[in-house]
Formats: sequence, structure tokens, C-alpha cells
Amino acid sequence: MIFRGLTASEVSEVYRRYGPLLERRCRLLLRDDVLAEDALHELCATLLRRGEPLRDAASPFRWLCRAVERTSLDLLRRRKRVREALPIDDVDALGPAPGVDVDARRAVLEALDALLPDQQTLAIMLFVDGMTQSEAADELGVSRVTVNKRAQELRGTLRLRLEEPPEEAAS
Amino acid sequence: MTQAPTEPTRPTPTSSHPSALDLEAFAAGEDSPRVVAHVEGCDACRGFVARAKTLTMRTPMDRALGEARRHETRRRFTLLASAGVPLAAAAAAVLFLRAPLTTTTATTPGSASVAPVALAENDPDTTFKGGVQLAVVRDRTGAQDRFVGTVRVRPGDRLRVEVALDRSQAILAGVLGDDGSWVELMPEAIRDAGTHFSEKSVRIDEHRANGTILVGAPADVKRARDGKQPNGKQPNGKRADGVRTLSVEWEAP
Repeated sequence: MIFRGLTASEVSEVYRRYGPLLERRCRLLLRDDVLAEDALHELCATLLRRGEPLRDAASPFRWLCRAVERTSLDLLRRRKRVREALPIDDVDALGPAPGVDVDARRAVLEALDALLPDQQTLAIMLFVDGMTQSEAADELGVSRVTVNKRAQELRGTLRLRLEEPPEEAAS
Repeated sequence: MTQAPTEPTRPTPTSSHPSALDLEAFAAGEDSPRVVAHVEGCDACRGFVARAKTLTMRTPMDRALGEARRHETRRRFTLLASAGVPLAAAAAAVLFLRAPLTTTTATTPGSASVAPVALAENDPDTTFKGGVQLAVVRDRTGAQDRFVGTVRVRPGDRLRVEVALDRSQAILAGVLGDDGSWVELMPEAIRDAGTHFSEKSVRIDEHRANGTILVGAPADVKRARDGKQPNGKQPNGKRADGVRTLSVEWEAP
């Protein structure tokens, strides 16, 4: 299937309306201002090239979040060897949403580049976006049991980080 | 039978709040009855939404959009330029193959039409395995030139590759010297469809050397490196075992 792109004025409107939240998301996932800017540029290029599905998206914001997330994770994979991540508190003026497990969210964001691609997506959905397993299952097109199993594996992967004492206590 | 999940349905058991995505969407003006109803009665979520509405951009819109449009223009130019020759060749091939169909091999024994007709009958499904287009940008004392064929170099030149992909795929790019040296320009990574410039560039030093730029799937590139012909030559601009190549030749002073 071939998608057409959005017009420049449509992209400008997307940027005006959703830009601050998407930029914050890029900074949060990448923890690097330059990479975050690159991710936004790539998102704009993607919208100009094949952004047509955004017009029919049930939630344009969610569509944009997934698009910018793919770009960000790709940048993260490409640049991980030379990257020095900024502290999470420095890149997130908004903080976690109510109901999101703060420790799990921090563990995911800090370990994001060490996770497998499938784990990254699910970890973001469950522990950063605070989605339910059912919501994640719907979006990923798998059963909730599968999501639950993967979530437990993910928790196992992250457990060491979650159980590690804070640096201040260790030093 | 499947064991019932023991994990809570939301990461935190106390949470009945909408997801962060829903709250942020609401802050951006996307109304959902469920979220509206919740936010009206929840101080924490109302506070989160209020804070989300105060976020401002660090990257100016003009810069992001301008950069994206330049990127897109470059990509289209590259695809047009690189698609033109193969399309013309394909059109010529179609004309060439269609014409002999009206004449039998018996009426023109020994003519050049025999082989193409036989090929067309034996291999009716023509597939195009493209997907990777290669160009190189040479920086010479600040002046940049782009090449899709052989690039001639002299000491001090810098080379950077430009790779256009028609789909997301893992690629690796580098320069293979005739002396067997290998300089990586694009590390192995999965890259989206679009035009990518190499993260690294190669600087030509005083030592006279020729080489070949290789771009393709990591396994194919490694195979091509191992199987390079003894004279160091690769078919320029062709897909050698799935790898795009481009010759680098020393320019006589």
C-alpha cells in the first residue's frame, strides 16, 4: 500500500498542536537533545512523505507517538555506542503521569537501549505510557496472555535494576 | 488451558487513571468522554494535564519543517535520478523482448532473438531486487560534489556515502581498499526507508590507493569483502551479490 504525504501546512499544524509533547517524548526516550531534534526532523520528513494515515487515525496523538517512538528507538540503536545520556529529571519537565509506577518507569528509561526491540515497545507502553495490558495487547495485535507473559519477562530483565540500591546509598 | 495472568492489568495496582498517552492527548485537545469524565473528578490528572498544556517547544517549527523539507527534496532527487536509468533500461528490455515474439526462431535461425525469447518463456516472473541506491559525496577543500559512478580522489578529499532505501532494512557500508583495508562508514544498523548519510567520513591521505565502496545487507557486504577479486575490481554501480558498489580511483596530479 502506498501512502501519500501531508502538506507542509498540515505538518505545521501537527507541529504546533502536538510538538511540545512529542519533543518531550523524544527527549525522554533518547535523553539527548541533539538526537531528540533529529527524531523530530525525521518525524516531519515522514509526515511529508507518507503521513496520510494520520488523517484517519482514531487518535492522531497516539499515531504520532508511535511514529516518533520508532524513529527514536532507531536513533538509539544507531548511536548507542557514542551516547552519553542526560539524567531523566533534566529532560522531563512534566514528570510521570498519575498512576504510573515511578521506579519501573525510571528503570525502563535507563535501560531502554539495553532492551530488545520488542521489549522496548512493550516497556514503553506499560511502564512509561502507563497503558493496561489489554490496551497494549490491542495495539500490538496479540493476546493479553502474551502481553502478560512478555511483561513478566520484562520485569525479570529489569528486576536487577529495580532492586539495585540508589547510587547515593551505595556510595 | 491457559494460566490466568497473575500480573495486575495496569503496572500499578492502585491506578485507575487513564494512561499517560490519553492524558497527553487530552491536553493536546483530543477529547475522549472517558478521559474528560475522569479528569473532571481527579485532581492528580487535572494537574498533569494542566502542566502538559504549559510545555513549550525547544526546537523552532521553521527549523524542523525546513530541515524535513530539505531532507525530502534530497531524497526525491536521489530516487528520481537513480530510478531513471533502470526504468529506461527496463523499457528498452520490454521493447526488445516483445518484438521477437512475433517472429519464430525457425524464420530467423541464429539471430539474436533466440536467446531472449527462450529466457522469457522460461522465466516469466521478472522481479526487481533493488531497494538500495548508493551515491558518494566528495568534499574537496569545502566544495562538495556528488557521484553515482566512479569517484576520483586526491589527498585531502573526504568521502561520505549517501544511501537511499525503499524499505526499512539492516545495512552496512564502508570502503574496501585494494590492499584489503576496510574503513567502516555506516555501522551495521536497521535503517528506515529514506535517504541516509554515513555517520563517518573517510579522509584520503598521501598514500596512493584505489578502492571500492560497498553498501548492502551486513552479511552480503562481509561476503563481498571476502570474495573480492584479486585485482580489487568490483562491477561499478552494480549489485554484486546483493551489494551496491562504487569505485574510488586515485586521481593523477
